[in-house]
Amino acid sequence: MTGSDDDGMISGRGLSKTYRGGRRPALDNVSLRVQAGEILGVIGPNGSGKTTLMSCLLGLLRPDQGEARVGGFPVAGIPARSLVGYLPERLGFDRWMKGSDFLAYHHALAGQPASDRSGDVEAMLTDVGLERAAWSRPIRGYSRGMLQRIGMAQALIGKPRCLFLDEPTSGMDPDGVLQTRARIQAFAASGGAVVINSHQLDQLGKLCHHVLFLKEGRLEAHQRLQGGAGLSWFVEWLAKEGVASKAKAVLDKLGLEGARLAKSTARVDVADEEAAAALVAAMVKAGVPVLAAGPVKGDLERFFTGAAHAGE
Amino acid sequence: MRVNRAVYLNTLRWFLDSPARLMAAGLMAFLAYLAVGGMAHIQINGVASGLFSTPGALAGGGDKALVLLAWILGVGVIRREVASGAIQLVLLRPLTRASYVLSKWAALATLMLAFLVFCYGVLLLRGGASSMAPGDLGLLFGAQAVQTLALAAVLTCLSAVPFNLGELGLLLLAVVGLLITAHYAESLDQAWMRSLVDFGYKVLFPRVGPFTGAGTDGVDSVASLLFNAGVTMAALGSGMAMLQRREFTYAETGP
Repeated sequence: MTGSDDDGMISGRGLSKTYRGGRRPALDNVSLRVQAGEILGVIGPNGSGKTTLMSCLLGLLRPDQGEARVGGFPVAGIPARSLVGYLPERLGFDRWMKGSDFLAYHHALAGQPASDRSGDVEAMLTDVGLERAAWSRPIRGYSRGMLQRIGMAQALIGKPRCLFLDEPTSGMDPDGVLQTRARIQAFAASGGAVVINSHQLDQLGKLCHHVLFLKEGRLEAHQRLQGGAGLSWFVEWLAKEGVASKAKAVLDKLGLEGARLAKSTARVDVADEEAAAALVAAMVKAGVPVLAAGPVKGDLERFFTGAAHAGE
Repeated sequence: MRVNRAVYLNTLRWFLDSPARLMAAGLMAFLAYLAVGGMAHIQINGVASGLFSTPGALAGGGDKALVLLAWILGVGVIRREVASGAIQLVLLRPLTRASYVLSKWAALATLMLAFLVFCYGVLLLRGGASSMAPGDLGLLFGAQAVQTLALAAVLTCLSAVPFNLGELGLLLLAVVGLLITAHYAESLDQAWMRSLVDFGYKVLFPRVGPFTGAGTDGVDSVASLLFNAGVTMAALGSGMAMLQRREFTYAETGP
């Protein structure tokens, strides 16, 4: 259940914050809105206000001006906190606790029924891929990747509707990165709203529906990414007479009219990797001599670089 | 505002998790056993004097063993979670900050009350309570129970203070302040300063008597009980107010 959610699941209006003794505002009149099912990425250089923004949205910091709401409720209130899951960048957990006890503790804190506790904890630990032997070990002995996994489990254990993730894949192995990405996408697909702070632009590019760029506490740019969780994919073929027209025919047949076609390449927005594989297979079947195919990299890097140097 | 069961139980587990804390608390219990058991022995053998009396031993033990135990158990009860950042995850759950402070205090007070019950249990089992009227013994127990609650509340409050001195640092600072005030109270012969110092010590180290109009053996259970009940409420209220106002972040430009 949510309050008035006209402003989206997560919203901030005119958020400003200056720390005591700070020479400039850490956050200067920043507004944002994340609807149910959306993933918002927040990027910017170090010290640009990303963590301050997240702390204001979570109610851990009181903004000097502006208001943050979650599910339509003011963030300082209990109803908003029932909807929130948070994975901090600095994983300050109760390290003396065993992994399963830590999760059971947060299950209880979140007000989940005691009768579901052991089942929910076991399911969540399995889901985040934490090896069973680690469940009964104190958290102080966990590696960074294991801490990220149990941190993600902690964020999800209270069945939140809004997720706030600060560098969620930091220190994870590639398998963990893929699993985390899939988990975040599934959460959003189920109607949840997500805010992610990260410096890993390639990850954000694959996950986010839109991205905010912060610089010196100000909102410098806002980019809506193509297709959200969709992919920008390229296909390159041997440049021979008549091949480009064959490729265009395949793209038209698959309904990919928005594709940008050149003599020996096409750049296409596809829903997911399965659709990309189907496209490549269709091209090969149509006689297009495909040399290479893969995700287009660097969109977000270009946005980041452009925004970072804007006005210089 | 009520005690949050999860925070309460988790804090109890934290107390009992450290072997060093357990050993120190066990040592306190052993010393209390020797003191109270020894006193019972003296009472039974009829050689008690005004210096070695049951209420004197219990109140004296309360002033010292309980204070030591409180500090052994309670240092870091809130500050540890603030320093590690774990508190951020807890305070984002659907519970109030006041409830969090109350739960921490309740856990600390529970263990200290268990210690007090242990002391009285030893006394009763060894037959040393016979020198006191049951009503007086009950009143003394009540006064010491409230003393225990006040000690736990003072420590919880110090643990919530938003300075990086730690509870021991804050205590040291307060004691130095009181010593300086006491010095000027004497040199300037100011009664109100003396009262202030006395009040400060009573708040920092809640104890059972002697108060003005002290009864048997200089112990005034009723006055102690009322004063320490006030200290408990004031310390808890202060701890809650401090945590309520506190902001949490680890932003690079933040606090």
